[in-house]
Amino acid sequence: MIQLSNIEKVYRTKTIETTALNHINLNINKGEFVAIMGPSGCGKSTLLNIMGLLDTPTAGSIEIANQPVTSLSRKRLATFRNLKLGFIFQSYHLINDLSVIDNVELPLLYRKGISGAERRKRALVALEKVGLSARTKHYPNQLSGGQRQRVAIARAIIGNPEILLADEPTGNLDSAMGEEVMNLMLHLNKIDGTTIVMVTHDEHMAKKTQRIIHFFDGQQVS
Amino acid sequence: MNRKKANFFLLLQLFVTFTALFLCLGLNLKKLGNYFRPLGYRYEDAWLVVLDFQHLQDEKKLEFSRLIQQKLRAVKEIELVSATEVIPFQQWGNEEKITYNKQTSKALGFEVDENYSKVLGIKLVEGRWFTEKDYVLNAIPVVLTKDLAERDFKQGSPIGKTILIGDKPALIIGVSEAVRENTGADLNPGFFIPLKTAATSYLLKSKNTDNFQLLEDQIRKTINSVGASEILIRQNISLTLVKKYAQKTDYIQLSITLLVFAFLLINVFLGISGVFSYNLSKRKAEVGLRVTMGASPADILKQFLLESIVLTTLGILPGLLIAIQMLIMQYLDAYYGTLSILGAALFLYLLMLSCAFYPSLKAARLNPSDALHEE
Repeated sequence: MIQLSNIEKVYRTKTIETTALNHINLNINKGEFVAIMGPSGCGKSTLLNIMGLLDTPTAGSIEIANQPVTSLSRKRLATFRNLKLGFIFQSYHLINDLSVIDNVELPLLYRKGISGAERRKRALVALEKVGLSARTKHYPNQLSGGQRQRVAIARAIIGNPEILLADEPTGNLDSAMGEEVMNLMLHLNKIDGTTIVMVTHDEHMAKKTQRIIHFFDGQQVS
Repeated sequence: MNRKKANFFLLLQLFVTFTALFLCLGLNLKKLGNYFRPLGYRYEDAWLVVLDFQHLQDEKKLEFSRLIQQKLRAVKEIELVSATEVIPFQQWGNEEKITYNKQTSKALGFEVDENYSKVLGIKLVEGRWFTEKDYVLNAIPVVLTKDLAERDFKQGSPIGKTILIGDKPALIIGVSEAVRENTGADLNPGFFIPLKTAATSYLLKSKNTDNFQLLEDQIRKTINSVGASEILIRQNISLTLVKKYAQKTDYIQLSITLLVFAFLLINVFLGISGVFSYNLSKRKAEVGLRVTMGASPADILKQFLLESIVLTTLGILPGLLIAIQMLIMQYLDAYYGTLSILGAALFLYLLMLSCAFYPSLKAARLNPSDALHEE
């Protein structure tokens, strides 16, 4: 599903050169739930950004869903992200000026041929899946952390992406809420067959996934 | 300063700018339009002489005035002399009450003599100009301007009808073309009646307009030849020059207005650009998120430009209500008022789009992974 070959990411300033990722070769299969672990600054999030086509590698190539994406234009990358990828972030990244349902609808705004009514219908289905259908008109700041993350998950799955990329999705939540969010992702992986790549510090959460990849100093160590 | 506060200031700025722009356009567009309208007379071969009789008594003034006119008529270079207190570009008529069929209205009264229309080439639409013979009539002979005739005599010709000027009866004997005080002035309905007092100003039609110096000398010598040391020559110049001086004042006023306005607009441009840039800088994470969700750079640019249009619409809405109210109350001419509303709105939309374009473009080019961490 995701194939990374010889990925390298180097940040350069006038005086310093920092290698964030060093020759990464990684293959994630369809329907897999993978956890990426490692200490802070080891390149986990950089890798996730590259997988999510939010950042470009200095060298190497990426193939997602059998399509080479390294040389796509910004416009094509945007369309590709919209159709194939869903994102969940540690700090939720909800727009505070928009209601819960408007936040969830967001990815469909950038998909052609979907009417307002259809968007709304699909947003309600997504919110029902995460158990928040009673909170559609609330605003993010009226919700708890766990509820916000569930809204973010609803937003991530509304477009039926094949891949979910989660950057420490339980990092800001207490254990009970973290558990709730993790169960939701496991459910999405098991029932809908969504491929999930999750960056986490939490060993307990990582153990629930099918595979754990360890990173250290920009390199895959296991 | 949060986003709502920043947007409030932006809306306030838009409202104030729209109102100022509308008023400025409303007051100046009509004047500008007037520059392209006919004056209703020819000034090119007319000459102006203004005298000061100082402390001479009225009887003496009349006597000298007649003598001066007589002597000026005898000058070879002068074709016609008109005694008047109505001087284009300098001194116009006085507002008078006129009554016809018990309907009272206001119009400008121009006190002139029988030669005035010939000196300035004012064309008659119908009827005739008054002559010395008319001065002995019981009623004042009056020539209406075309716009006054059209305003007060909608049905049929006004010739032969009697009106009251103040409380004095006047017989309408002619209708002339409409006249305006100067190039920027509005059309003001008026009427010509014979001059009752001794004139201190004279409009002359010269035969030879090429040699102004000679004409000026001849006029000065002629007036001095009357032999009254009390009479001072205040003005002895061509009407073209009078127009030039009057326009110079207009241009200075217009230049000052434009300068002040340009300065204000630069301030507004900088202000709006600043607030817009600030607003967008606070929304970098949102931009990153939208790009992550699939927005293309064009989508981001479109979104912020659209937002700027919505903000402009909200900002000018209260100003628009005020402007429409002013048109309904007839504080401004309907045509130029509407034009001013459209002009001010269009200008502000363009201003806002130009202020929003660069920050929006910058936002559209943000790297999403960096932008997401800007929260």
